[in-house]
Amino acid sequence: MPDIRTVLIANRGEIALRIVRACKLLGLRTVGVYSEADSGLAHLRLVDHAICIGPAAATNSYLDGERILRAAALTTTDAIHPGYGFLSENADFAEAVERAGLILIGPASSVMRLMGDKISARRAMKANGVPCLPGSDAALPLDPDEIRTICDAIGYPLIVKAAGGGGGRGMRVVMKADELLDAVESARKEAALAFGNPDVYVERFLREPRHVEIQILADAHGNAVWLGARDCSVQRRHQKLIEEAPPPGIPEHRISDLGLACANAAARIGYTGAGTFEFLYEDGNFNFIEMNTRLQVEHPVTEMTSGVDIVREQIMIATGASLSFTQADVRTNGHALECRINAEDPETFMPAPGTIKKWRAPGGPGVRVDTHIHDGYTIPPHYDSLIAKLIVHGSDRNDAIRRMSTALEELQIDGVPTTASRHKRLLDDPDFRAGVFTVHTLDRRRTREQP
Amino acid sequence: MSQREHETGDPIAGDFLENLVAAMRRHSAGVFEFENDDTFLSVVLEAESPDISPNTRPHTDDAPSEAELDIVVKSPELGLFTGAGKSIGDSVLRDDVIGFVCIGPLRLAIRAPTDGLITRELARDGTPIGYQEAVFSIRPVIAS
Repeated sequence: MPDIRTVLIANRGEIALRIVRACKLLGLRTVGVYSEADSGLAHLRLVDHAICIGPAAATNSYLDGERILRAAALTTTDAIHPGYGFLSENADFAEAVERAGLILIGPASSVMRLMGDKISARRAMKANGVPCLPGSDAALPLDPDEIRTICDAIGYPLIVKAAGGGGGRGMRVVMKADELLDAVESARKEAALAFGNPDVYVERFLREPRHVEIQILADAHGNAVWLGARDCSVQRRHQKLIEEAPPPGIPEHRISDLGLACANAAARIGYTGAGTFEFLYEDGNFNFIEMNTRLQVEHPVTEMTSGVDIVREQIMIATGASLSFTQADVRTNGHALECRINAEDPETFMPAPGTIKKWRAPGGPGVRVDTHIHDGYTIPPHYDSLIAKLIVHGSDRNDAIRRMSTALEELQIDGVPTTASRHKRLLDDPDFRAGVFTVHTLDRRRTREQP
Repeated sequence: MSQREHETGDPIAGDFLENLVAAMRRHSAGVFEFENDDTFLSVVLEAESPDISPNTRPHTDDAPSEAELDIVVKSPELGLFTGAGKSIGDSVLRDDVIGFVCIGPLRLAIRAPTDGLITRELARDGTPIGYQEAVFSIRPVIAS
């Protein structure tokens, strides 16, 4: 069994703080790394050793695997928790961690590589009974006639996606056959630039899907459980804004069938740690899109409904421990919502870094705030704009919405614009209330609103 | 002042830390370290606070204190700091090697940016040093 005494947190902001807290709960020594722009981060006051790893630019600090490993060696670290973003899904980094004789708190690099390539992930999921959209089972060939044959068989509209991609890059929607070849060509170019891999594949395009995902935990002894589903359909430009658990309006037995399929697939591919299977849901069907082989930003909504400390379990699994509970022990209750509070213009969603003049967190029963900000904290312009996650838990969806509305009223952040006011409006939106938001709803409305 | 590293099974009793800092100021010591079987304590008086520098004296708006003239020398890289035999009170010439930062087999020299006197040692020999972390402060020699 691997012996973990010291954990290096290769991340920043609220998630670094969240991980430090979980490590302390387990009595582990912690190392915090930071860039030159981040010496004031809240978690650095709690760690046993803080060390500056590089300049502000993420490519020379949080995204520089060599520096992270150097810091780990200097501080006699046993394990690295990558958090989310940055290097958390980089299989090359995971492999380098393994070669250095360290433990990555996450899956093995080989599994990360399997699921990081969207084509091999899709193939693995189909083989393990996870529902996938009709699409190509390999990278599109170079020959235009072969491309047409494959895509005509799938049917239009369809979407061209980058094999190494995510976050909307390297994607093209093709409504008609005569748009196909141009779309494939431009997607390839974008994919090569963004991911260093020009391979693309195609899937049937869904017009009004919801985003539904399954949280799983799997240990190194072949045990895997699912902890519930989340709905993350409120998005702008592929970035989630509100997440909730459970997804409204979907029959429980459909979710539990899907959850079981995901847990079984995770066990069969040798997955370890926390992971999320993402699906598009339309016309009563779930369609696998990708697996996130890491902790998710929105993991707290599942923690609130399941009562499981996902970060603590992740670390325990990395020590080689078996899951301390079985699927039969997992009970979810009530409804949880998370609003991402970003330092952004609430209308345009343009990032707005600056200094927090006043910060007052809401509270009360069922209210949780995950944040690293404080009065006088300056949000650096170099990283993403998430500054806080406001999470509530209620007895049912209406109760959770009421609690969130009340918490947003109480929340005070002066000095920078935030998405809080947008969230208040979204919670009152009839489509949100009815649980019929799709992943395109917000972007479509914004397009209509623009002059 | 920052307590950079404090790993001890015993809490620091009463006003120990306060007295320690006062003594460090009296004796112009920038770093204090203590280690025994189960305790390691390192206290560093940071360069940014003018009132903790040796030779502190009242100053006016138009006359900076000597401490304010100190130049803080920072590590050019993340690595392991090793000294070059320089300590508080030593005089150095511009470009003198005053320490090293080791990155695997590489050893980057840390050089004095000016002629002057070392007023503080801010890194401990053989310990990790962060990128741009303060290593020494040097009071420049001002030509008369």
